[in-house]
Amino acid sequence: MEVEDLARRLRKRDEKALREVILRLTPLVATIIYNVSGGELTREDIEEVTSDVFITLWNNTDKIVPEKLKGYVCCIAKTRAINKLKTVKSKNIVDIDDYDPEDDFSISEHTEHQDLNRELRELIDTLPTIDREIMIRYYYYYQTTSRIAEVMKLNPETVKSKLRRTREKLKAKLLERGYGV
Amino acid sequence: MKISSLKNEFDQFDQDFEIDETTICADLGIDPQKIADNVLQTIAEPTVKKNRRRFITVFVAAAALSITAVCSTVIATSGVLRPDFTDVYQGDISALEIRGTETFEFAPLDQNLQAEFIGIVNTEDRIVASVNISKKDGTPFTSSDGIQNPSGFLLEKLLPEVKNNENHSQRPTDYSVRLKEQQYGFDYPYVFYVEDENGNICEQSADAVEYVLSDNGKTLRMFITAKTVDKDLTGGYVYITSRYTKAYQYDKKLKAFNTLDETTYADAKYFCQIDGCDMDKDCKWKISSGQYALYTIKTERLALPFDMHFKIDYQLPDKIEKTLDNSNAPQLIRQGDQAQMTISPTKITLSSHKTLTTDEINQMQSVSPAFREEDKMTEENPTISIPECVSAFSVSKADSLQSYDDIDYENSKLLMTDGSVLYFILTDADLQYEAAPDSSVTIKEARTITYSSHFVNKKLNSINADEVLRIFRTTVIDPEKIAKVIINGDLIYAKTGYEDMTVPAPETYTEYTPEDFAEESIAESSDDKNYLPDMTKYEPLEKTSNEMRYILQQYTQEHSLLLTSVNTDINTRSKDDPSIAINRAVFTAEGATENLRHFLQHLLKEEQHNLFIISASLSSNQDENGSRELTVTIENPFVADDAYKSEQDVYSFVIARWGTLQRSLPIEQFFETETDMEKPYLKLTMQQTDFSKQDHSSYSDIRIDPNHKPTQALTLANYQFKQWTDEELNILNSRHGTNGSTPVILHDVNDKDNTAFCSNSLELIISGTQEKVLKTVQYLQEYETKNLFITSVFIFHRDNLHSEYHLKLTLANPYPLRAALLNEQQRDAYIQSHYGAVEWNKMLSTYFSAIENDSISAEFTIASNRKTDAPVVKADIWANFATYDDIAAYKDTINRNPYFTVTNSMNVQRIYSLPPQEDYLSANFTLTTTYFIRSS
Repeated sequence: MEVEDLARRLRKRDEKALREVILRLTPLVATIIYNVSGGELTREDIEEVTSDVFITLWNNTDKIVPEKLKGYVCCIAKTRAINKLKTVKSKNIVDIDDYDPEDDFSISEHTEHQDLNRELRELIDTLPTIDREIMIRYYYYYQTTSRIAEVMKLNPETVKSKLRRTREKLKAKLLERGYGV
Repeated sequence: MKISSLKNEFDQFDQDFEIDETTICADLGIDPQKIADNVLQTIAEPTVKKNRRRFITVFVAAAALSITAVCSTVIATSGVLRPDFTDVYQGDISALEIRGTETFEFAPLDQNLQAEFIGIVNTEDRIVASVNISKKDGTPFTSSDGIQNPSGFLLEKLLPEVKNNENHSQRPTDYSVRLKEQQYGFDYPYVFYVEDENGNICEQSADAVEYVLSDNGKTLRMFITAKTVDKDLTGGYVYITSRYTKAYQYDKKLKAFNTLDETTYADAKYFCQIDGCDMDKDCKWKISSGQYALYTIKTERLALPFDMHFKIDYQLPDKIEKTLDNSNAPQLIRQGDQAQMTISPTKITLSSHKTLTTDEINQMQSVSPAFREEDKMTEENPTISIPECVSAFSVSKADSLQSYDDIDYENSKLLMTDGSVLYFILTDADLQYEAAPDSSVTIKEARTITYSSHFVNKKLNSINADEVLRIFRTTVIDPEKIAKVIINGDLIYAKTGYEDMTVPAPETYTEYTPEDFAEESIAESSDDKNYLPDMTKYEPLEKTSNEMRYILQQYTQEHSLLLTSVNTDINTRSKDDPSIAINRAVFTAEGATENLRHFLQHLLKEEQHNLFIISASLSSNQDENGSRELTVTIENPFVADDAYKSEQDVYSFVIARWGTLQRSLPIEQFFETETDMEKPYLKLTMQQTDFSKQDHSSYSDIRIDPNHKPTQALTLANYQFKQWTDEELNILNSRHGTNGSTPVILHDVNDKDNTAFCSNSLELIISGTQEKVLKTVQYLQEYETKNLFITSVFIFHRDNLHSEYHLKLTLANPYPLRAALLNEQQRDAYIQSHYGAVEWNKMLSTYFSAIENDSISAEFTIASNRKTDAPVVKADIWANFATYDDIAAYKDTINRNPYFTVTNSMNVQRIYSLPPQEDYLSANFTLTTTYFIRSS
């Protein structure tokens, strides 16, 4: 069964569909969690976060857009992984009592965000296929450059330079569209 | 609108990018079936949970109601001695009366507040009451918008309206208590008043309330301090009305200064102006890492609504008072004068009060050259300077200002009933003059001797000059425990029953003289390189401070040296064997280099008599007579609790800790090389600890300034252990050469880790492209199996023009100092724990791929995890950024990097530049990783 069909059944609170989705997407979800955590999470942690992702999905079935199920799950996985990582990392933090620039950091309101999201997506779609894939693998799936080079059969240095060039290209285009980068 | 980082933006996407999943997924061994079972089981549970939760909520609410009913009544506790006052007083606090009262009433307007009365302590001049305030529901006193860091969370003192008497609401502070460092530099408004038994507001209530927030943020400890003035008050009521207090949090560090004086203060104001803030209103100072840091603050108002009052039974502690005159204190009081002595728990006061006529003063003036013509009292100048000679005390100002070395401390001291002695010096007199219309002058003179914990239990010869004046804290002494008071050589007070008590006589040293070992041959020749202390003659006996001083004095005299300073009373217990006590002495001797060498050798013989040389440092400067200065630390270990020790145990301990190093060799070398090489300093340090007890604190190093011939340094550093072989150095040279890097052997940087090993280190610099430097690092790592470890990597320069990196590597070739004491397994364990197996090249390539900033330098070192002691790699990063957003983005990159965790404060400073250059932000922070360390 296609993922989209499963998504539709999920919206109807079909537990069997949930099981199916879990079986299908667990490897992807676990990999994203692993990539985001950069190896800092134990296997038990990854299992815990993976379960958490699907529970979150189940509790938000009304928000599922069938065509975007995989993306939605990836998004949850990344958020959960980052949160988990923060709790793990915070145990190691000795003292951060000085100014933390991140505290001040915010990316405006939600609506503006959606605009940016859409425009960025558009820009990404205009990229050459290889560049686009490298970018997505690196930024979206958190793959390392060496892993990207391995699966795409490229030289690691090529991956890095392509990434750099694509980044600059995107930056220039976003500036043209009035976004500060 | 601004974008933080691409990763951040990509995280927001919820679309599928249609990348082949199989190339994304990694084999992590996660079982989807297991996940599915877990998830489905969890989502089936909520119904049960919800019901349980509802029940608990009802139960808690009911319980809370009943608790509120109980707590809304008066909370009263009886006073119990608790350590809560130690922030205020040091010393034997139990000697003072600490009282709670049953009259404590706490009436919270917010029923969630509760209070616990800790107690009251008073001395003759102040009372301090302590109350703990907390929330019944256990929540912290923190706001919902993120003030969560207790260490950065301070409270302004509340300024509530005072009950019944508006006049007392704004009394200025004239006194504040130093409590915790976090309180430093803040002043405290008047907040409460004291009423006597008749309901009159008393004069003596002007003082302070301070809050100290507990580390978990849940308890506010309130210290209420009152300073009594002149009036005797035996009891009264304290009323406090509180509605809110101001809280603030350190926000942004603007600037840090090493000192705070007028210039830096003006600078600080300037920086505030640049930042658009008012220093007085918007900023606070904070002392951190020994610097005065100026922070902007975020403030908010914390509701703290309550009234409280309690009764104080104010009783002055017993004082000892006595009138002194020339007959009972002939050396202290001048003929014809009188003084009143008061011994209280916090000080001894000597005061005199007399009236002199102008004639009498003029007469004194004629005999006092210090009294100048313009000092004469005239109608225009009714307040005059009075000559020192009018003082009732024969302690002159000059006496109290003389060099500490010249003071005879035996002249002024307290003998306690337990036999301890407290030494002090008299302070300058506080003289006040008052001219009367009848041309007479009233002179009030007071000298105060405040007890200081520095003096307590210290012997005369251990008082360091710089310690004497550091009297910040009040030590409290029960006057009842004072047996005798001797001031200026006069016994001015003796407690009944203690009249015959004498000062403990100086310890004798007749049993031990240099003659006792005169027959021992002394290795004075540098040719005698086989000298080895005979540890079988080791005597595990304590050498007292006096004995050590005696030995040092004898030896220095014998070798025509001058003993310029000595501190022989640094006593500790061994950390790994507390039954072993260690007396330590640090001294400095001056004289000809050759004499110093003989002296050190002579001292070396003392190792058989239990006096070990730990370190020696020789000055490079020679005066016109060819004299140098030698500073030496020696240690005398002995068995303090010998019931538990056999001779053998002690012998083993000493061997393990102080070893049987052939010290004559480095000592000879120490002097010889010093002559050969011109360098600012040379220091020899030796120390060993029993490796088998896992206390790795043994090393032997000779630290040498980098500006000298490297080969000699290497030879010297590895003199008796294991040198870098020519082969090893050749390999390093040749292999780096082939990699396009240039090795520069700088100097020995011996082991900092206090190990049982000589680290045998050297530094080298490699330069080249990223690929080349990584290759070199990788190559060097292959040598780890040959006992060659990279211990740190410092990327100190990045040449963007040529895409080159310059790395400074520290390599260690560890070798056990005492091979016989270590087996292979211990050696391996040591190497594992100290040198890890860090995949430096992998770590560096990760680092290189993460850096995008042009001006970043970094140092990677192997360090120990503070808690677990496990080896970790620590990275210190220094970088410059244009904006805070750049820092955020960079930090974001770092945090997403799998190998690092930011483990220390990020310190950001704005560096101001003159146009056309732009200001920039200099940031430095520490990262830690355990990722590349293989556990043993």
